Order: sequence, then structure tokens, then C-alpha cells
Amino acid sequence: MEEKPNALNRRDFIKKAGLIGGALSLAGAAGAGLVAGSNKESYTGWGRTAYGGDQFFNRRPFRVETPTYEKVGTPERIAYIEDFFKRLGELRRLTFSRNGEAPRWSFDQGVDALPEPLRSYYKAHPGALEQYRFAMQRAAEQRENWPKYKDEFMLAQAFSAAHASFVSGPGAFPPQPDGPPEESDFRGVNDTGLKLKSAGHGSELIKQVAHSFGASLVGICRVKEEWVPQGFLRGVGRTDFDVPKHWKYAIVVAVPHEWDSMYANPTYGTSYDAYSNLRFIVGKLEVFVKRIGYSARSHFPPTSYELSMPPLAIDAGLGEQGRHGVLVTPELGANTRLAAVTTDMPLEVDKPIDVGIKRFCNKCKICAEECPSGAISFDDRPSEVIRGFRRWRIDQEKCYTAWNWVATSRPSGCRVCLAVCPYSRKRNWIHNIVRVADPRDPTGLFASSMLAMQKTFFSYPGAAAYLPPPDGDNKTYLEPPKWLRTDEWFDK
Amino acid sequence: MNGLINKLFLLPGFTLLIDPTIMKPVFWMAMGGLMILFFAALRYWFHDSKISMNWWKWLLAGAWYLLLFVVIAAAFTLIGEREVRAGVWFLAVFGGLMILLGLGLWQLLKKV
Ligand code: SF4
Ligand code: SF4
Repeated sequence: MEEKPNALNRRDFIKKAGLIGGALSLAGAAGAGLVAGSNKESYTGWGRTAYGGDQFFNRRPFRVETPTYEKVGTPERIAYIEDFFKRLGELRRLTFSRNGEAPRWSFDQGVDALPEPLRSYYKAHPGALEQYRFAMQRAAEQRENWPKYKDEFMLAQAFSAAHASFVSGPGAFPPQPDGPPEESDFRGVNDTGLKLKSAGHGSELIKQVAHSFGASLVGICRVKEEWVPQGFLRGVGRTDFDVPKHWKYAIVVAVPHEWDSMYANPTYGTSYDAYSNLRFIVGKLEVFVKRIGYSARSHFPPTSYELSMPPLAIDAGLGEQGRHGVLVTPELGANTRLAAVTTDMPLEVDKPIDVGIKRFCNKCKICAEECPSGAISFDDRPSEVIRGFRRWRIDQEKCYTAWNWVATSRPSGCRVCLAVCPYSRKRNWIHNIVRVADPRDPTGLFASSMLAMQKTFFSYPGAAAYLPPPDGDNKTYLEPPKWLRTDEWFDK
Repeated sequence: MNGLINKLFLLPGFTLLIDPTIMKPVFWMAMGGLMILFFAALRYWFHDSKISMNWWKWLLAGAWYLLLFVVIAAAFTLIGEREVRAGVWFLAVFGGLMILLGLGLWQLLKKV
């Protein structure tokens, strides 16, 4: 039968419209992708999610009985002098003049003239003191160079200073403990006379409240003695102490840095955005726990901890420790900052997880390749036994050198290893596919192909490039966001 | 570009129009409509090119289109999150692979 002319027209019309429709749908795919990539709702911890929405990874299939840290000997508590910031504090007290008095020690006097326990420490760690001296020389250069950079980084400095504004001084929050833990952790505890229904109820309640205070991730674990450093107790001072009996559980919380500034490290990011959020969260949580009848003590950054946080967070099921020593979580990657509240409130603990991060680190090494100070180990496998655990060693003195070397002195730090870690990804569909598929692939092929793509497709400036001239080019991992670029908002 | 977008936001009703709670489902409904139109037209294109289709050929054609869609969306997601180099590389490598697969598929559809 002969087709009617209008039927032919309709056929032609559908053929052409269909082609245009197909092309438009592919353009729609590009548009949807652009929106998904740039959408601020994918900025985990900085978007609209609350009440646990940030903790979107299903940990249940990956729960394990044995934590992913590798215990190979008798665990030891970290000694006072092994804590980098405590050691730094001791050295600074000697090298800077106080109350008009002359400094009590200078590098030229050598290690033998140091008081104990510094002398023994530096004798046992050859090269560490020289590295610290090198860091101090870089710090002097950093101060000298500052007039050259102060306009460029004016907004970054202001952003950091704003976040750091209540970290010290009379308005600091939370207040530091005052007196021994047996007193200070119980001060303000409300005798409610009410009995908690169960430890499970306790955990669920605390997690809800912590999320409502802004915690992206929350996990709970028992406090093991080996995670409590020895030799210093806030509220008491330098002292050897047994772990207080009422530090039964740790409520461990995590938040990320603001993502765009974090990717623009070492110079545009700051540690203090996450620090200030954490201080608010655990400070409020301490008050909350005391008000419902239990002892509480908050442990928070930058240095107010009586806990070693990464292994504690592993016990609490939040993630695994990366090659760079930082906790890596499925939701936030290495963009994870930690704080905790210790308490005697009855709580149900979480189990550690194994999602294959440590195994991925064996092959990856990107953070080691990009670290401007060479502080991160290149060893194929964790190779050193430190206080009873086999792990990768981080050279703290070298890391500190980079803080004093990059163009900005404040926001102090470097954080390049957080930015370049392939796990540090926002919450959008492509990264969620990887989050779901990678830990479920027993062959490891998925991880290997992801790593191959990561190394081929993504651009990394290279370790030295992050340093100022003549050593480097003040590069950042990604370009800084517009809102942190002084030239976008101010004229010279 | 940003200035223009900011001005658009000031237009009455614009915020409501682009509000994601309504725009997300509307966008995907429109995309669905475009895809239906595309596959409806494809039937005629195959017919006019003397390609006879059966269920597994349609399945392969659909899978190819879906993969291409995912590749484009993934590349532009990377570009959207400012990993421009990775996005372009992804598009070049996997987009190129999709074109080759598409040519192969076309030959297969024609021959069998
Ligand atoms: S913060 Fe910087 S210097 Fe320190 S380990 Fe990470 S990348 Fe290296
Ligand atoms: S950058 Fe690579 S090696 Fe380093 S912590 Fe991340 S995954 Fe591990």
C-alpha cells in the first residue's frame, strides 16, 4: 500500500528529531556531569547533610575482628618526648629567650648540652636535631619572604585566622581540663537518677547528637592503654600516670576540611577550619554527656589530646591508616580530622573495618611522591616496628620543615598529602561507584586500574613544585577557589 | 558568566524554576523523553539502512548508548570538580574507545 505523504513527513520528522534528541541527551549527560562535579551538595561535611547523612558508606560488610594496624610486638605508650609537639615545645623553651633572659641553649652547643630527656631522644634519633635546625632556617626565610607574598595570600591568611580565633586565649573553647581527670572530668556531671535503657541506646543517642553538632563521622571504641601517651596530662602537667579507670570508651568524631581550599594546599588551605569545627563538636559533646550524668573529657586539635587518634579511630571503625600516617575514611579519604570524648557512659562499641585502603597504599605511593619534604616512606610494605606495631614511618621533623618552607607561615602547615590522596574525594556518583565497587573486588583489579588511571589522567605538580622559588614554584595541587584569591576581590 | 547567572537569579520565579527539588526530576524526565525519541527514530534509521534488528541487537545498541552516556557524564563530572586534565583524558581515551566500539557494532548489526 502506498504511504500517504504526511506519513512520510512524520517518519522523516521522527528520524531527524530522534537524532537531535539523541545528541541533546548526550549533551544532557555532559551537563549533568558538570553539575554533579561542581555541586556544593557533594562537599561532604560542608553541604546540606546532617543527622548522619555524611556517614553514607555502608560499613557492615567490611567489619572485622582484627583491626588493620599490624601488631607485631608488645605495645608501648608514646612517651612524652616522642610526641612531636611536646618535643618541639621543650626545644622552643630552650632556644627562645624568655622574660628578657638569654636563650638557654643554641644549636652550636650541640646535642650533649641539651637537658634530659631531649639529649637521650636526639642521641637515639641521629639527624632529627639537624633537620629541626634546617626547619628553623627555612622559617627565617619564610618570615623574610612574607612581604613578597602577603597580598597574594591575604584572604587565605584571613580565612585561617578567623577559624583559629578561638583556639587559644581567654575565649578558647572548649576550656582545658583543670586538675586531675578524676576531678575535672566529673565537674558539672548532673546526677539525673535515670538509668540508660542499654549501651546500644547510649551509642545511638550519642551518635545522633554528635551528628547534630556537626560531626560528619562518629564511631565508638574502648580506650586501649597503648593509645594513651605517657608523661603529660592536661590539667596536671608533666607526670607519669596510669590510664584513668573512667576513660572506658572514646566517642571518636571526624570532619573534613573545606574541600576547595584543601585541594589548594599547601598555601591556600588551613588546618583550622576542621580544627574549629571539631573543637565545637567535642566541646559541646562533653557538656552534653556530663549533663546526662556521665564523666566526659574532650580531646581536640591542634594538640589537646591524651589519645593517639588514628589507631583509636581505626578501633572505632572509621577507616584505616594511610601511608602518610593520616586516617583514611571511605567518605572523606585523607581529608579526615579527628577528635574524641572519653567517658564512662555505657556505650556499644563499633568494629574496625577493612576496605582495602592499606593494601592500596602498598602500591599507590602518590603522597610519598608529592610530599615536598620527603617525610613519607616509599617502602613497598610497612617496614618499621614502632612501639609494637609494624607501620610506615613519617619523619615528623621533615614534615615540620615543609610547614616552615612553603610560602605561607599561617595557615601553618602543608597538607599536600591530604589533597593528593586518591581517596580524598567528594560525594558524587563517580566516586561513589568506586567507593562501592573497589572494596568488594577480591581480585584487586579494580583498584589497580583505578590507580593506573589516577597516575595517568590526573596531574600532580611534583614534590618540589610546592615550595617557593628557587626550589619550586609555589604550586598548589588544584587551583585555589575564586573566593580565596585576593586579586579577584582587591586592587593593588 | 557568573554575573549573568547572578542576574538571572534576581528574576521573579527563577529561583523556583531552578530549585533542585523540582528541577532534578524534571530534568531526568526530559532526558527520558529525549532517549525514547532517539530510540524511536533509530528504528526508522535501521530500517532505511536495511539493518534488521532483533532483541540482542537492540540490547547491544542500548548498552553502547548507555556506556557512551556514562563516559560523557563521568568526564564532565571530573571537569566539574576542577580535575580538567583528568576529565579530558578520560573523554579522549574512553570516548575514543566508545567510537571504535560503535563502528564495530555498526558493522556487526549490518552483517548479521
Ligand atoms: S604535610 Fe606535607 S610535608 Fe608533611 S607529610 Fe604531608 S605532604 Fe609531606
Ligand atoms: S596517597 Fe596513596 S599511598 Fe598515600 S595514603 Fe593515599 S592511597 Fe595511601
